[in-house]
Amino acid sequence: MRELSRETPAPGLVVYQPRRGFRYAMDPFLLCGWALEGGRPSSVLDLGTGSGIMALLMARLGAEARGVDVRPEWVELATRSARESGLGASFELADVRELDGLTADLALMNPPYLRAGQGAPSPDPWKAAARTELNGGLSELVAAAARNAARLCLVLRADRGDEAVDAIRGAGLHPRRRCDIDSSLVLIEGGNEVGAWARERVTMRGPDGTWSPRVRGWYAAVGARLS
Amino acid sequence: MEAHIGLEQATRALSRPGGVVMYPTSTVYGIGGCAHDPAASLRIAEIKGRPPGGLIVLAFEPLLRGVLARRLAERFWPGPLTLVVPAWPGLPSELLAADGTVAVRPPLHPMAQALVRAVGPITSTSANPTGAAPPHRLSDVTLAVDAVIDVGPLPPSLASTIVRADTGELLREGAIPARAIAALLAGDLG
Repeated sequence: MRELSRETPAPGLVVYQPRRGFRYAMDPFLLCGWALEGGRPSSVLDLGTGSGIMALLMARLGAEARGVDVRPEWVELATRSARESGLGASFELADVRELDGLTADLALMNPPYLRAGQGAPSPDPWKAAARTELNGGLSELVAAAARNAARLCLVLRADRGDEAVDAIRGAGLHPRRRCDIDSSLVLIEGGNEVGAWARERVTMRGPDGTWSPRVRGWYAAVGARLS
Repeated sequence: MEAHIGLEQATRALSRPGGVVMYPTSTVYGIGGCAHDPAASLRIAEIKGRPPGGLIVLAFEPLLRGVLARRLAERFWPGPLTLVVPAWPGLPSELLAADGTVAVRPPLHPMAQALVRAVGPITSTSANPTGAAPPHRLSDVTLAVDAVIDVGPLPPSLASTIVRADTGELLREGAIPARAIAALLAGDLG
């Protein structure tokens, strides 16, 4: 039995995740806060949901939120977190690549940052699936998002930003926004509707070492605590 | 009068469980806490006196469901329109009406907006004990809160219009005329 930790990243929100191994970092909070600047979705799909953190954050704000993951352990944990938080988010076991026919306003993805074959996968199977593209490459995952949602926002390692934009085009969506955070992360948005392309660069911290206003704003937008 | 007096203290107060602050709204001074913090909602009920008087509003823009709710929000927000919508799971029970609805309205006063930008979803209800008049100046009221944003006396203004967003029923006519709501509903149904 894997040892779990019980996190409370926001008032009233409980999230279970493994004490060791793959754990959420700041990425999901940054992505959710940024995604809300591009529109206010009624329904949200969290593809490759893991702990369920993004679906839980969006459900807490009122959205109909649904998380999908290929690993049953994550689905079980996310379901437990939703139940204990009193939230209506639902989680299901499925291969994201096989999803079809859903009509969400927004798909969120925090996909594996490493391509298959890029370094040795972690011996921890939970961590390996979250870090390395063992269950589909970026273009397949983006295509799945495009089939099931009108808009997609994803977070990736900064050096894969151009690849993500290409994947969005390849899936028939229009790239709409890009936000480079330091030189570590990139947030990308694509959607069904044509719109002006917007790109910004953001720093995590200001000159005085505290969190930058953009980062603080994204956390506040989802009502999460930034320590 | 320093326009932003108390904003930092209020932000810090709301980062603690149970934190309750007093702040200006577009009509009167209100009190509120983090929307998802049950301890804050309980404390507000205690501060106002039981049973808590007046409407407790969620002062942020939620992710609305339902075509009519979204149309009303697109047309009138940010503006003096309070929507009564079916509550979604995860909200403290103190915020819910007996019929399972909750009132929502993004804040209009710049200080309240700044507070939401800093801490996220908050609640809002008039800062008066149950039975007393809603205060337009802080000297009108003494409540045991953790921080106060003081911008001086608030000018008189009309209360918000309240609409039940799942049915379109007008619950209170306020700053937005009933005919404007009716026109949108007619267009929506037509």
